[in-house]
Amino acid sequence: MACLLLGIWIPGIQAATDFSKLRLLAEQRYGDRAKNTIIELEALLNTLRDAPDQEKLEKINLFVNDKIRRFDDDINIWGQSDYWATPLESLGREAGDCEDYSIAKYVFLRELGIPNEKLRLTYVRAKIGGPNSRISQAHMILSYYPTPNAEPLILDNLVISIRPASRRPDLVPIFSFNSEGLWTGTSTTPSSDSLSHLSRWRNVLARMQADGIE
Amino acid sequence: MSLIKQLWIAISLLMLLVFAACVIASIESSKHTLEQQLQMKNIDNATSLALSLSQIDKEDPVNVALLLSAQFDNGHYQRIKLVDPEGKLISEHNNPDIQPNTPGWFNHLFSIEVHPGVAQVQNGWSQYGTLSLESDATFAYQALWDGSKKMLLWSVGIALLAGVLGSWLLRIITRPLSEMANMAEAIGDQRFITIAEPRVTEFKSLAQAMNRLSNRIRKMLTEQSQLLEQLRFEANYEPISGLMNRKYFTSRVSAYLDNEDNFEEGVLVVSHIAELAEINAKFGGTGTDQILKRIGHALTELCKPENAMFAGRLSGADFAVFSGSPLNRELLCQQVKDAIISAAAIEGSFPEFGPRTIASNIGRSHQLDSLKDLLAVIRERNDLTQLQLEIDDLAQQAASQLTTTRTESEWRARLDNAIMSKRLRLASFPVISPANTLIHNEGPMRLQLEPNGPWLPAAEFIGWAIKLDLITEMDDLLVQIAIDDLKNGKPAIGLNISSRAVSNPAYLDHLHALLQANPEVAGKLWLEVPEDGVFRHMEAFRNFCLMLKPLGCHIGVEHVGAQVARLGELHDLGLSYIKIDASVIRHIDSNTGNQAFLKGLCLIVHSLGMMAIAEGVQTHEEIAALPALGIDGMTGPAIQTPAV
Repeated sequence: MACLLLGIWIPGIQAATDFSKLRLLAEQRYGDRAKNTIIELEALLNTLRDAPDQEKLEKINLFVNDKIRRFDDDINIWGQSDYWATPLESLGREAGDCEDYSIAKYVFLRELGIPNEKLRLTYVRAKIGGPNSRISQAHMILSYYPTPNAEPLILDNLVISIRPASRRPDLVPIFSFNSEGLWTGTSTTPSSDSLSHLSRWRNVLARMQADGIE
Repeated sequence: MSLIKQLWIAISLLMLLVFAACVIASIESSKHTLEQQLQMKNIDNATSLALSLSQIDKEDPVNVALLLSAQFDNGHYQRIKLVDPEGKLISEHNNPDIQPNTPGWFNHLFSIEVHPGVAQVQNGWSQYGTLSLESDATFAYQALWDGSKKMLLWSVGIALLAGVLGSWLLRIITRPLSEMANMAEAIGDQRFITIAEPRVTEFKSLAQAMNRLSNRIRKMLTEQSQLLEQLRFEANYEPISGLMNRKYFTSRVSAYLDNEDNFEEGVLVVSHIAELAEINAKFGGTGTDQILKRIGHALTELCKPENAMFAGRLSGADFAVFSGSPLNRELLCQQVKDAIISAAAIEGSFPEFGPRTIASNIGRSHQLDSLKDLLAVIRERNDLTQLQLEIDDLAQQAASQLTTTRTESEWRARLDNAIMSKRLRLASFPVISPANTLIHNEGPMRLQLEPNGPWLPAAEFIGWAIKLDLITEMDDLLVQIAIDDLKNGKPAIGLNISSRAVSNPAYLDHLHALLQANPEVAGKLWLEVPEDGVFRHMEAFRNFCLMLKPLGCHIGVEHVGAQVARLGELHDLGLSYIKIDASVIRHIDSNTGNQAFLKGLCLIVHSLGMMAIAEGVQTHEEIAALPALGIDGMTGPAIQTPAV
């Protein structure tokens, strides 16, 4: 609401997601299963509206990790390296890369009214097999900061349970971001033909909006 | 306001709107592009700076400060700000000196709104702060300003070009319109001209309609004047021979004798066919009519208009031929006699056939009584030779009274001297309206051969002036005198222009230049050309009208009567008046035939927008009869200058 008053528009700040559109698109593109997933999502979001943050985090983390069943590389799912999928695409295909999980969680939590400044999409270096492993991989997780200076909670698809950062010694944070300052003031919703000029992040936000998630 | 001007204004306004819209749209679009570029730059730079900051060791705040300074000092930024997660300022770099060089109103009108690029800085797992970065937008304003100026310059350039092109096109498109406006004006002035049809469809039908109107009027006038000619013929001509009847013949002759400006001496030939009764008995009525018709035809053939000749049948057996120029008397006498004999072609029945023919010189001093005398004696006296001698004596006595014989060199010296000393002036004969107001004064030429000598009418010296090639100088001088008189406040002047002068381009140019130099008196100058001159030199006269009419003077035709059938040809010249020949006016009060003719003539003249003026008015009865017939002005011996 504060953002609206400031004239700043951020996706998901209001419960403005158009579920009927989302359902229709899911059915058209991916069939009945996807449609049912969206119906489940809607039900879940509705039950969580007034729940404490901790419950929201756990339920959404579980839902996304459960519904995006297959964790795979973008090249196998989308036929191109590093494709940022919208939640509809990820849920529809029931498959996704690490950032697809994180994006979906971020969007749904924002939908549930968790403010932007508490959420960060974070690039991390993940040591495969434990903190002392020599094999590391580029990974993305969603961090939740209960207060600005608190230790974040990590929502990951590799480790199902939500843990504080200190309990994830296998992850080394590199950079984090959210949608703050992105969709501002006069720079209105980009039209679809200009999507190609946008960064991946802005691009996926724009496509999401076209799907009905606002 | 003219149509062209209105169209021009409308087009200019439209062009202005279009160009303004173009310029504004272009500026807006450039502005949008610049804003997007700046926005991207802000976001990208904020992200990469935040990325760098996230990687470094932030235990020592100097590291952070150095990195921010390095970025700010070497880049193009308005502001770089770092605040901690609780909104407390960590570091801020600001460049307050940045002010665009572009005009304030422009910056205000097209302000470039770019939002800061925002990125998060991490310190390990914990949040370090939020970085916001704004780029320097001066270059964007400058680029926008320069682009707009260039755009405006191009627009103005193209608009000017379009204006020039547009005016040219408009002029071409509307050219037929102005031609039609001229035509409408001409028709309003009762000049029924036709114009070439323009190619534009709408104009074409309009021009066709107007041309049709003009042509219909012309046709109507032609028909009317032909009807009039018929009237004139019935009133003035003898039906069997086709020659003038006695009344008209004597009127014509006396009109000549009274016209001292154009007539000095002529020849009158009278021929009497004594055998007419016998011919009638021999050939019967129809046969005799045939013979008379042939004779009439032969005499008409004999009469050449350039010698001012005409023929009449005075009574059953009496024929007459008059020449207004001094031809050889004996020769003409013989020609008339031969023409009658060969035309009659009755040698078979009357081998001795030969009309009794005598000729007499006839001058201005003669009275028409001499014609009566001639007719009387020719019927009674058998001895024609003796009679001819007597007539010759009489004529010579009259001639010796009139002019002293001078040699060519004497004439040249005297005329030269008269021109040099400007011993030329205009006589003055009033032309008045029926309401007794002065229309103008006719001003025939008068000349003094010797200082203090008598002022001679033109007829007495004009022959020599033409022969000695001095007439052009005299004509020029006369116009100058007329204009000087007018400038000195004299009332309007009617000036006779001979057909010779009308056909002389040098004279025309002189007249044109004089009138152009004195536009204030042009409206008081009435220029009149004799009817026979007008119709013999139609092209020259047309040119004369086209040249002088626009200067404001009145142009008319004088001595109108013999060729009314051709009056229709004058429909598009914009003439002001015609003067009707004295032979038509003579005894108009009693001549019902001529009354009908004159009435019709006045109708046509009025429908052409001209005044009808009667010449040679001699009696109060004529003055009383003329206005009812439609006459607008009168001149002649019976007309006095109205008392002012």
